[in-house]
Amino acid sequence: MSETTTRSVEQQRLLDEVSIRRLLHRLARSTDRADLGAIAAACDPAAIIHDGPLGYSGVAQHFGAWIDERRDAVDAMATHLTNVTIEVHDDRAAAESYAITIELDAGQRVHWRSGRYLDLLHRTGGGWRLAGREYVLDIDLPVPTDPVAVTPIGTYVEGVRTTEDASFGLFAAIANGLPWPDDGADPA
Amino acid sequence: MSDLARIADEEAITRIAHQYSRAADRCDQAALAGVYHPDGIDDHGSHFSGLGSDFAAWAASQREMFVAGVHHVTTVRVDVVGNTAAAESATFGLVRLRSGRVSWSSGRYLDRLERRDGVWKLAYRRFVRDIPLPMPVHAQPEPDRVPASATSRSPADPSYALFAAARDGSAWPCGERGEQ
Repeated sequence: MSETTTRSVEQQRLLDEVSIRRLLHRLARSTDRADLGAIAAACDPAAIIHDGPLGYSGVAQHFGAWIDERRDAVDAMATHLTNVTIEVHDDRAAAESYAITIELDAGQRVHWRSGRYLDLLHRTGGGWRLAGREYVLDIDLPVPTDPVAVTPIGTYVEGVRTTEDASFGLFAAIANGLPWPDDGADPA
Repeated sequence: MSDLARIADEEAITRIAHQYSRAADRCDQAALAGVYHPDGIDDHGSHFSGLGSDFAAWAASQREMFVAGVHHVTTVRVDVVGNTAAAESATFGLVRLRSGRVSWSSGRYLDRLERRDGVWKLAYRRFVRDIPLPMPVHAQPEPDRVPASATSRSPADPSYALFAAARDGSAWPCGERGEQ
């Protein structure tokens, strides 16, 4: 194999891994924000999804609607992806993503878990798509809510589980060449 | 060095950090030994200090100590100088003891890596613990609240079946409908 060919194979692997990692990060963001359109875009509609922290088991086609129906059951969800191991084999790939998920339920209880998403992915004409997901729970650790600890100190922008979240404003502003932030808070 | 070559090196080195975690958490001795050069050293303080291959055997022998263990790798800095690199990986470790209690710590891996025959591996790894934090006893888990597959500190873990299916082109239980 020539050096040029070797380099192009390595470059393709790098590109595939970066693309798959981006897909997984965007899917995590989409489920945290209950962004149904973005969830649908990341998944093959026929993919079978077992998403432990959200409690869903079924085909991807109905995943978004299921999240939408349960919006009131979860006040906040944060999915922190850490280690991601990816193996690409032609047009199929496997990925294992370590994840720390933190959920604030409607009863204001915090659920903290360390687990892993096991994902099968397919390369399509439109890029990589999730073709199947399994969740492995390593450590489940509900953290007792301490009323003192959750007393707000100062003021923050609060995250929400909708596309009204502040992050959507950032991406839209940059995409459209608009200033951000536009509320006069820019110290510059 | 081109930007692309630098990114490729940094990705390869970060991949080593992730492979280490995966191998250690599954007590996969061969995979763990594979992240070190044959003369690579692991320094886990008083717990273990010696050849990486011996560390892998020692780590696998600890399988029964915990029900589950996870090494989350978060912030990574990589500096490449020719065929040598320095890397610092922040890690957040959790173990569930057989008593049901969970302990966690925050630390860092300080790595010297070498590229030999075009392959990056660990020449020396030293673990630095920053914050040990035993969890309060009143924080008890709620088993079965979340639908999930069972974890295993061995190749019986479900992740091995996933990677094998992708490699072999065979069916995977959570794959697309047509592969059921």
